[in-house]
Amino acid sequence: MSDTNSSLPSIKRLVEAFQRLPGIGPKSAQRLTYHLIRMKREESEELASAAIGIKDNLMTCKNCFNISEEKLCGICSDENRDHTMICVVEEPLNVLAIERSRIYRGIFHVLYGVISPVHAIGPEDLKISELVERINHNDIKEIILATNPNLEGEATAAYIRDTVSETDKNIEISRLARGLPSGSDIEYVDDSTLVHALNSRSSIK
Amino acid sequence: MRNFRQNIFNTEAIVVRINNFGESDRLINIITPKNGLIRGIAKGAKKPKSRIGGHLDLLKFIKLSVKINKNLATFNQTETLNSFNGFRNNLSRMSRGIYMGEIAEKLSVEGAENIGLFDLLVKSLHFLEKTNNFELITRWYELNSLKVSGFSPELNMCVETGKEIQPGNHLFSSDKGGIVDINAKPSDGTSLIPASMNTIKLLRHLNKFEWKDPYKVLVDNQTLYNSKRILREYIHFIIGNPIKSEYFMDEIFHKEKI
Repeated sequence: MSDTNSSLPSIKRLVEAFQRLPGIGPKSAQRLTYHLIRMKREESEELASAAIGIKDNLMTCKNCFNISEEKLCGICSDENRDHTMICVVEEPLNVLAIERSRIYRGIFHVLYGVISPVHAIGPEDLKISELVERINHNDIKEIILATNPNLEGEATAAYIRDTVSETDKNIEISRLARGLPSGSDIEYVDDSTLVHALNSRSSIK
Repeated sequence: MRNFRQNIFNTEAIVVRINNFGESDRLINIITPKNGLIRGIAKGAKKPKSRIGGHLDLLKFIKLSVKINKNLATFNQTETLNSFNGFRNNLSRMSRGIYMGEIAEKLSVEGAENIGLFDLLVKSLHFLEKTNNFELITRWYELNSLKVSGFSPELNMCVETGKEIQPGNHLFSSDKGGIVDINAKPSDGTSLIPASMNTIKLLRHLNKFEWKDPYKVLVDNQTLYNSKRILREYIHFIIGNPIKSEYFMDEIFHKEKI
């Protein structure tokens, strides 16, 4: 197909639509568009239907604000989970990551971001007050702060720690351990990670 | 100024802004001594095995390799010189550090040398980590960041009459750039903030770049508040906008007071 096809309104519209997605530049958008042109109609319809379905069928869990198809997500409505332990994460994708470990049996709370002063994102822009409300109205024994191990993640964790400590609840507040990533090379690890790894070292006797 | 033939060079830097980009990259702004503000991209920095990701965190003092491209620079081969770990678990220190970094970012110019501002930021972060005199160190930083960037306010002569300021309570004008004698109120509607005698004394004292013992200076809260008000408004005037991180810094400050 010649380049003049790219100026056809239908093609141009779809290329521009794809470019709005994160990580999709002009070339990728064009490749995706021309792939769709070659796809069977049924497959294109299935793709369009799935995209619309996300907007029609998904909502946020009223308890933990994770993405869900019901008012209560599968994790919050699972009676076999430990409902006294809340793992606080930045984004729904973090829930997926922790669930992949298959080791965590508590429930979650999604903040939808981190405190980022340079971007004018403060505690009031996150689901922190909702977390405090959950703590005040439920029997919670432990909060695991699983925000990212960078300055903004640490600031968010520190703020939540201080806010939860102000409640009259006796709650254990913990932070995910930090250490060396599997497969990494100590030579290239930053000093903050090394400090944490050394401080958190454990006996292997 | 940067030698434009030198597109790849090593430099010390402080990280002042991070944005996620794409699946695994980060857009990073750094302040450097000889090249001012540099905007760049760290490819693959979000990946766990990234050799540079852990070094490129807000307010880290680093040494890195920079390649200047047409739009964004590329950052490679990073090592950390100082993480300022002492304040990473303390909201008071952290919020002020981020505020200082944002001021440095706003006052820096891409490609323009500003060794004074860079050294000041490093020194201030070091003071923040080691002392509890947060408010005073923040005021010292605000005043001297303006000074090294060429925006020092006039603290000794009246900006309206040109005469030496006598001991006493006077006023401060941001748009005139300094102290206004209490008896020489301009009639052009310029905005004026009260500047008490103690506030003027404090500002003159803070207006020294060499400061070895910031933790030994004690100042009453009213004077600190007055100087904060003056410097805040002057910085807004010079930069043209409020500093976004000041809201969070103020929130933490007020929480501590309760």
